[in-house]
Amino acid sequence: MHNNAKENPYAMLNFTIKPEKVSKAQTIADPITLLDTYPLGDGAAALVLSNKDASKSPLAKLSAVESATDIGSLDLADDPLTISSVADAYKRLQGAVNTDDIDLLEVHDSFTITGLLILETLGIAPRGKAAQMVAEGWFSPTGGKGPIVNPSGGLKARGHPIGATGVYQVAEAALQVAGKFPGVQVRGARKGLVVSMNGLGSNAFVSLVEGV
Amino acid sequence: MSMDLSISRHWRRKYSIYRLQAARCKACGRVHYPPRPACPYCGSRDLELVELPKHGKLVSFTKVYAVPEGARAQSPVYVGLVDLGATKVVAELTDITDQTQPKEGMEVEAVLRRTRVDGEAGLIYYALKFRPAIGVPDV
Ligand SMILES: [Zn+2]
Repeated sequence: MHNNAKENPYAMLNFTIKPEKVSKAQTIADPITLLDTYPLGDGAAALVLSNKDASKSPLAKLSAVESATDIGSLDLADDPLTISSVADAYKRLQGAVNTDDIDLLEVHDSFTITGLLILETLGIAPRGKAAQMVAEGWFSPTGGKGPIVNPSGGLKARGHPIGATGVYQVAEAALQVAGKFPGVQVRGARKGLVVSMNGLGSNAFVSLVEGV
Repeated sequence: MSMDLSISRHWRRKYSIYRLQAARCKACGRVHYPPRPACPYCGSRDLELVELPKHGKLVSFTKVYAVPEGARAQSPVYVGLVDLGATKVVAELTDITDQTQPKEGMEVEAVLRRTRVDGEAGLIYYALKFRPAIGVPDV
């Protein structure tokens, strides 16, 4: 996911990193190293929203946005490996729109583990298998297996300017389905799923962005 | 001579910090720590205060190297998720030696220990930490 940032002109850490470099980086909280965490930085992103009739040349359609809240606590959660707010918001989204054939996802990988747990919570990867699948080339633009995850490079590489991050993600997905993303462009992308959350998941927003 | 932490806030929390006082929801029966005004599971405000056991099992742990000022002398700090039966708590682990490296499932018990020193003129804070159980809880 991080390596996609090399092509992204908006990314803060726009270079590739090898797994050995991540494991040898300074340990923050074992086993999480500096390169497993997001860089602090400034950033601004914007979306111009309008109704269908007002825009003559829309870039994309924001088909649905759903949200949910949860305790957002490691000790109070019955299962700390499932992000309940993401699961609930995604269930609501699936009730509102058709989420089959997603071409790409932009997920909130504030830490390596957060991105993996989101994929498992959505059911894109079976429980406990996301890390192995990513290592096997799943979800990468060249691997040819599964939807492409974080073609922007994700939070760890694009940067995570807290309040602007969710808007970045939707803007990036909109550029993807419009075929206009200046970095790794997912070929023929029509449907993008965006997962934004807060901390350990005290709240989550899930959006579907479609090509027009 | 600055202080980062609030003495009055620490004082208000003394029963949860020093005695592991938690709250049990009378509506759904679930226990949470530290006590909140409403049950995080069902939202009921009908709660009663209960004291958690001082002995539990380590679910998972980490070794934190990014330690705040005032606690750097103790770096790295072990932090554990401890299952006390009624609920789980996140707490610092202490008395970790080469012979007592933390392991998942390890029995741990609460002890009173210093956590951090708040600047030159500030308070020295204490809290309950958990150590590998030796069967003699001292709180
Ligand atoms: Zn309750």
